Amino acid sequence: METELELFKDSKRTMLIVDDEEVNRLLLGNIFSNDYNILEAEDGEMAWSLIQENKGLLSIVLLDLMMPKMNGFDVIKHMQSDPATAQIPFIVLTSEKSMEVESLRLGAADFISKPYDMPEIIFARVDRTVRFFEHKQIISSVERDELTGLYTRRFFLKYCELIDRFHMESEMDGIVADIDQFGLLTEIYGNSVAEGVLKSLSDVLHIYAGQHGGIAGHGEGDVFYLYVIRSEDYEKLTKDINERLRADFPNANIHVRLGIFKRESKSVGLVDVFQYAKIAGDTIKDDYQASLAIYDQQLRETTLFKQRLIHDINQALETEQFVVYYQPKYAIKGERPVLCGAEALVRWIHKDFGFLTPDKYISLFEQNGLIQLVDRFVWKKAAFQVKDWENRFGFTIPVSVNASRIDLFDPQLSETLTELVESAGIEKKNLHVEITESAYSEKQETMINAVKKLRESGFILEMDDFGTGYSALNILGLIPIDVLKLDMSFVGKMHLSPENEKIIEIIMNIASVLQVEVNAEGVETEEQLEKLKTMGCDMVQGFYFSRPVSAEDFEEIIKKEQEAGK
Amino acid sequence: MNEVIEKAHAIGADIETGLKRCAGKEDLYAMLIGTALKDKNFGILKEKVAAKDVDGAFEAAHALKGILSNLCLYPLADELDEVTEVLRGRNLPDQKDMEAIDSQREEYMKIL
Repeated sequence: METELELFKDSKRTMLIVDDEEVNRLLLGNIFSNDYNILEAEDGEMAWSLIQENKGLLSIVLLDLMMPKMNGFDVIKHMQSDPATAQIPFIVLTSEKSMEVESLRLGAADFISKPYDMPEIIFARVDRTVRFFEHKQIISSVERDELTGLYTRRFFLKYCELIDRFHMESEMDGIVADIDQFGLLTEIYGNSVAEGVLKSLSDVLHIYAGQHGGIAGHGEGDVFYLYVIRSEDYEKLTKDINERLRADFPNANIHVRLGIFKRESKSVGLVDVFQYAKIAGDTIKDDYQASLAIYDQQLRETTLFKQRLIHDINQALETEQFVVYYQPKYAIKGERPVLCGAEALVRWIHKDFGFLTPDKYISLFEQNGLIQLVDRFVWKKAAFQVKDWENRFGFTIPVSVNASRIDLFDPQLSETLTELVESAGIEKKNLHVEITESAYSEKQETMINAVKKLRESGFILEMDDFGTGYSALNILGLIPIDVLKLDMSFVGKMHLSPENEKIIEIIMNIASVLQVEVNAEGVETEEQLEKLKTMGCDMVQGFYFSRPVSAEDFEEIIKKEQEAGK
Repeated sequence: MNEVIEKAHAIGADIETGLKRCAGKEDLYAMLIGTALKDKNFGILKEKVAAKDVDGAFEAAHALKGILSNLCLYPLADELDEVTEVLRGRNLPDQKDMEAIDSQREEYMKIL
């Protein structure tokens, strides 16, 4: 890094000296000739043509104002009309006191008074201007996003800080704009249309910020930021966005969601402002009826609650606040239902909140990967439980455990599970692994390979929630599955129409062709049980037999089974 | 010390400041004195004053004043300063002033 900077310091920059008097050009040239390559022009016309020829090369122009042919003012006008020359700094050479301020007003970086006293000072001033503009140009080239021209996130946040510092009294709101299903939009319409959408949206945000007082920024992908003086309502903004996108892309149905955080107090940090705005926006993800959501007290509480759960998870695992429950599975092919296994289900008895239902934390932990900790906890408990029951009842009950998407990305998954069953002293076939269909929706190949590896190693694989995803049947042909778990929604709706029944029958037939067993979930009535039996269903679980119970209560189920089997 | 510079000093040039502006380079200073004294604007100034072209005369006088003051060639530079200010006030300089410029320039030309 240091050598690179040295390299810049040592390289000779190019300077253009414009003055109709040779004496003046020579005097100035003498000051800079050791450190700069010097070009000279004796009138404005020559100057402008040299500037155009060397616009990529020129570091600075020293410009006299009174010259024949084209004067210095006209040279400035020409320079400012072309973006490529407008960024070249110029310093005005003048003997007129009145022109000093005037030249700065015209955009000069500085002025040098004639006569040229103190060459050292002239050199230092010019050289410093050159360095300053180089830095400024590097900064401005990265402070804005190339595609949209908006501030990049880091610069955006820095400018927000400046706004806060200089406008302490202004009430500002943070807004995050996202485009729903932007990935899909790119896939359907291609990159150039997707980029066009980003540009159109950034235009609207830029204009809005300009009109209402504020700034706009562009984050990753389709995420945009606004920091603006508070409006009573933001309907106008959503209207502007929708109108513009409809006009620019009449065939695409683009939904932009706005999340708004009203910053009542500057004690909320800027990063948090936009995080909260994003959280608000995400609550209306894929909801085409809603265009904006405000971060309110309720959302605040939900967010805090989630943060609290994330914070508490490690301690909860250490202090056994997580408990594994077991729901029995029954084989129904024979004369009477026979206990043939159990599904391990996690329960969190939080030290302050008490019993937490899984919907409070499972999807949250799936989003941030913490589910892996919970899964591993359950695997271990379940494996040792199988062994414990074997020891005490002489009865092997295979237990199925859940493997989340993130687990399947772990290249050591098969090894981890193998080590676990070995340490528990149970056979692999007695720890079933349940995988949900939706786990395959992305990065299919990685998933399929992970599942194949598990099965080759000897684990029994069950596909959970079958029928709720998008590509259920497709997946069956791709991966080796032993048991198909029919989602409880099928069983629940079975009695509503003959068609519903038919669908279950078709699934049963496919399963039988593929030699896969079917386990129906959510069986609550005898009628459902009998129906499934006649359809050829292999196993069932549900409240008809038992809700999920603690390991201790499960022992009663085992005992009952042993009695019935006698 | 360069002969030209020594003689310029005798006429009234502030060679200390002039040399400083040339970063102490005597050859450069002497060369620039020669260039300045032969500047075409001396001729232009005369023409424009004779033609009563105040703007044209001002431009020429202003340019001369600039270079002569830069090189500290007094009292010629002061004379040009006076004429420039007269022209700035949109008046034509007196014959006396123009003659003074001529004679002082001739004095300087002798040293080249």
